[in-house]
Amino acid sequence: MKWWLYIALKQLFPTGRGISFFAAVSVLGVALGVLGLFGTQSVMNGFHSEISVKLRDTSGDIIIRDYGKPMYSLDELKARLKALPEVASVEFVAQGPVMMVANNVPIFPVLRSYDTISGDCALPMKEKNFVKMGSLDDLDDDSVIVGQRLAASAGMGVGDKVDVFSPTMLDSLKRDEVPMAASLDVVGLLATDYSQVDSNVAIVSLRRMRDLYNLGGGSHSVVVRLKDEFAGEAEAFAKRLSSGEIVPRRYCVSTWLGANEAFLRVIKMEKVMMSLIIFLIILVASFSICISLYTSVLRKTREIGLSAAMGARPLQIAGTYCFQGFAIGVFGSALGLLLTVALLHFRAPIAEFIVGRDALVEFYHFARLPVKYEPADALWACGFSVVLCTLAGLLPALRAARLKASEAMRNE
Amino acid sequence: MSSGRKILSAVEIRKSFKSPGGGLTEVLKGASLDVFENESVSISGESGAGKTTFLNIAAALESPDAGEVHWLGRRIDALSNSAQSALRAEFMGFVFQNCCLIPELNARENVEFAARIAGRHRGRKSRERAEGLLEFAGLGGRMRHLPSQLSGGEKQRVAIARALMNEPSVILADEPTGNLDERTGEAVMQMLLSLCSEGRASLLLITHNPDFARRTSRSVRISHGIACEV
Repeated sequence: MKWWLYIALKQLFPTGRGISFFAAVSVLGVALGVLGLFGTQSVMNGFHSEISVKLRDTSGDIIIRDYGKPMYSLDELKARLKALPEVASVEFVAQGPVMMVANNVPIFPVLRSYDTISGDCALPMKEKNFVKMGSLDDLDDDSVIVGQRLAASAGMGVGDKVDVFSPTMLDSLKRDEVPMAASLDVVGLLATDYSQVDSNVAIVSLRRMRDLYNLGGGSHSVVVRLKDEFAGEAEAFAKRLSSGEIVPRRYCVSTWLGANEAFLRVIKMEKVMMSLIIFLIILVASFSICISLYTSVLRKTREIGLSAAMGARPLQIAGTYCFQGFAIGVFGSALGLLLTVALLHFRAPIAEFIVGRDALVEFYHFARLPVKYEPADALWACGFSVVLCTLAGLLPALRAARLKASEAMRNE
Repeated sequence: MSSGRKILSAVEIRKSFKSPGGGLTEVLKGASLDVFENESVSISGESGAGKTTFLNIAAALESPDAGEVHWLGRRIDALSNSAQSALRAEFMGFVFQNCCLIPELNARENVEFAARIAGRHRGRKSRERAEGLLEFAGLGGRMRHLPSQLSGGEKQRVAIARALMNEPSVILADEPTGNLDERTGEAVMQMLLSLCSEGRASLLLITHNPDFARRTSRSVRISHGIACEV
């Protein structure tokens, strides 16, 4: 081993003492910085990923609309779409806001249809077991599946009856007719673990929904689910559909990504901003390392002079201090990664302790803190820390390298 | 004067330093000295006479304003810094008043350190040589002790062992007994002088102690910037 590497390591890890106080504090400081940075990025990745999955699961991959107008005679379109190899399922969907009265408590959910006759569903309701305390198969024209949090807010459960009023019933009032509410039995609870849906959506049969919205044989949209292997190609697929060969040009084709673009961009932006703030914290930590190493150079002036007298070259002396910064960066980063994984492993009790479970669900829509580790983020966090720590060693290194042996040996 | 090979030759060395007032103080005004193989030479003189400056110039740690320094017949004061570093690592051993051991290394590692800097560290061989030198210095039982666990005399003996690690041609010692009590200083001096008598190395010694100076092969006194044989 080169002597300057050897002495750098010995100054960090002295014989008989394991680790020096300076090294321990510096490594811990860098580790906490990496923990902050990589931990934040992983949690934000988790949010982005989980929200993306939930959005896809609760809205479908491709949505074809006629700019808000009801769509009719869609069987041919459905057949064309189903024939495409990328398509897993195609569903006619009718949906819109209604007033629901349960136990004399009015609530205003969005009612979404499910085609009980064909069984076509563009959402993974059965695969992901979204319906609890009941089953999608129990749904018929006289029943409803209510979002779990929505049901809780109205104090209703499976077996209760609810009255549903649709906006089209206003037409009856105009004609001086008494609107007749649809009386439906609650046969299940919808639990997607995405509070936006669970606290806002109820599901009825397509036929009931058409009846409530006076749609006849029409629907509000055609929702397409792609096979999982093509899930990442939704945008390209939507573009292909828009070309006019498969979907008539008068229809608007969008994807779940496009529909939620602003929301997803906000999450990404939040990740960038938080990372920037923590970058600054690591920057401050690197200044502390710089000051400590500089103090070390001042304290060890005579030793540096002795090394020079014994034949050490200025570049090698500089290397001693640069390498100390580098080593602190490497050890700190490694420890930081371990701490991140350890801390995030126990994130559930920690998050509950800090913000409480309800706040987590209310603000972030999830029952538990999601995490997704991205190797690129780890590389960035560690690389940034190592580079900063090495640079922090540069100033002390230059000072050490410029010391003249004869003057250094006279230093008091 | 010794009849051996001339190791070191400093010729007409001049050196000035800037005074705080702005003028120049000429410390060395043409000092000359030769050191021969296995010879011990002491340099004495009043404080501020320029003894350490002369030693530093002889070891190429400082450049003279005028004059020449020759090492085995080769002029070294005009060499590049890295060439001077390599020369010091290979042929010179240093012992200073404040022994200046590296506090993070134990006694044996401090001795081995000289070989590491010179690029001569050969694993177990170097370790065994360092242990042998510490035995020679009477520190066989102190090899794993850190400098903070050693007395002043023990530290200085470790420094001498370190100076010998690379089998130098000359040991340059700047008041090595300055911080030691009489008895410990005598032991250290005995050790340094034995190096010459055993033919291990030459010795260029700065000392204020007239008794130690008398025991070297030759004594030189620097006065008014000139080196004179005593």
